[in-house]
Amino acid sequence: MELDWSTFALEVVNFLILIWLLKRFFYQPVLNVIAQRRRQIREELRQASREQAEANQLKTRYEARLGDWETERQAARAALEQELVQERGKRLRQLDDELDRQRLKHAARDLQQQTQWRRQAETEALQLGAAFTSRLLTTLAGPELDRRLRQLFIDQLTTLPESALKQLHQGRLDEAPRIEVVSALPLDESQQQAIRQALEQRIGPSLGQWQFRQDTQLIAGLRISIGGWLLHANLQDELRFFSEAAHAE
Amino acid sequence: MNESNPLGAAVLFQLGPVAVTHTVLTTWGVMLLLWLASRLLMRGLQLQPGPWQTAAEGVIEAIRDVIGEMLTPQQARQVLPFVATLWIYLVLANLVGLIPGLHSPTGDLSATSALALLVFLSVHWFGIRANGLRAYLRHYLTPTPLLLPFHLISEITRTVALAVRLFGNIMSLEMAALLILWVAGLLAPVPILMLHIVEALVQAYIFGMLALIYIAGGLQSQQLQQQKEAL
Repeated sequence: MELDWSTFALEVVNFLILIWLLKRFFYQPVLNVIAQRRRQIREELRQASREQAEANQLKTRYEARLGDWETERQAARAALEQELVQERGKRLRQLDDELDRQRLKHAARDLQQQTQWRRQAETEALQLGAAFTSRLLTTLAGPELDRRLRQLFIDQLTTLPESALKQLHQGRLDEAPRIEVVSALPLDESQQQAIRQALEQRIGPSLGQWQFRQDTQLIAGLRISIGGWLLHANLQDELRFFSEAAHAE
Repeated sequence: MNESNPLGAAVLFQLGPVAVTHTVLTTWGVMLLLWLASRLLMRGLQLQPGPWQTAAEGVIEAIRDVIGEMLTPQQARQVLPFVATLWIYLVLANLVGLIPGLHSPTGDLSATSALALLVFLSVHWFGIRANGLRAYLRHYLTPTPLLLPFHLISEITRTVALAVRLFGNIMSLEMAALLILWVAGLLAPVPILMLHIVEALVQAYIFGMLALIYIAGGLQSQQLQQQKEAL
């Protein structure tokens, strides 16, 4: 156990050199890395704090915006619902009006159709009745009925109103008027003469040509045409007049 | 070679007037090993550390935490290279004796005395650097100048104790292992070698911790004086 001064001195120097070596090649680099890492961690923590603050700010902003959006949405929804109610009421009124119009239209059409059907039924009934009456009167017609109709014609000539007589008289004065007497049964000379006398007595002597002919379609009676005028006293015309008069109603 | 004294270090060769002993050569080996390890580690330093870098950072962080418990951060930065080098070197130097054919440098009183002397000087160096020469020297006169001789004796004895404690423990371990090997055979010293590991770590810790305590005492003596004066 003795002290070797050379070793002592070398150990002092060695240790000082070792301190320098380790400080230069070990402590300083490692401490720098640790410090750099801590700076990086602090920076990342600051960055994370900033991002968290920004995120919180954004969250607050978005929540506020969501609240605004919710309010706007509710307002828009309320407005839409109100608009829908108004539109619904408007549409319902329009629909009611349209339904009323359609109802009136259909009622009018139904009425018109019913009228048309009734008129058609009446026409058919009248035609049927006219046909039936025509067949019945054709069966019942005969010289007696014919004579009575001719007599009725002569009697009615006496009761014609003045306006009608004036028009007939005007027709008689036309140039070369043709007076045609159509009868259901053939007329003998006396019957023709009686008719001519009755007419000339009421409307004056005729300058035209008299023509007598037979038409069994008349069933009974006669029809006289003077120029543009017709005088009826036969069953066929009466039936037609009856039918047309019914239509006119 | 000093073959007659088993407690002395063998001189391997002479560099002029300087005798290079086994202790110095082993110390150079330890220094070379630490330098190479540092260079290798420094090449691969990254912010995302690997296992070796993590271990190295763990060692430095642990030492810095221990120092930081006693000193201010600024003082800790100044003291860390010295104290950390003490710990690292002493651990390796104490464990070198486990390698067959090698002896721990700390089993040589010259080496431990050198380290103790450096601790002694570093205490004053850091104290004067922190407080100034007058303020630092004044603490030897407190609480009364009568205690100056005791302060001086304390400085010397604790330095001697530092050197002898480490030397005695490591040398005795190696000697015990050698004696057991001579007496009992090849595998008999194994328990002693395992004890050597524990003792090497403990002695390195004690030496470094005492050095740190001494340095901290030197640094804080003036502060304590100022606090007393303030009171």
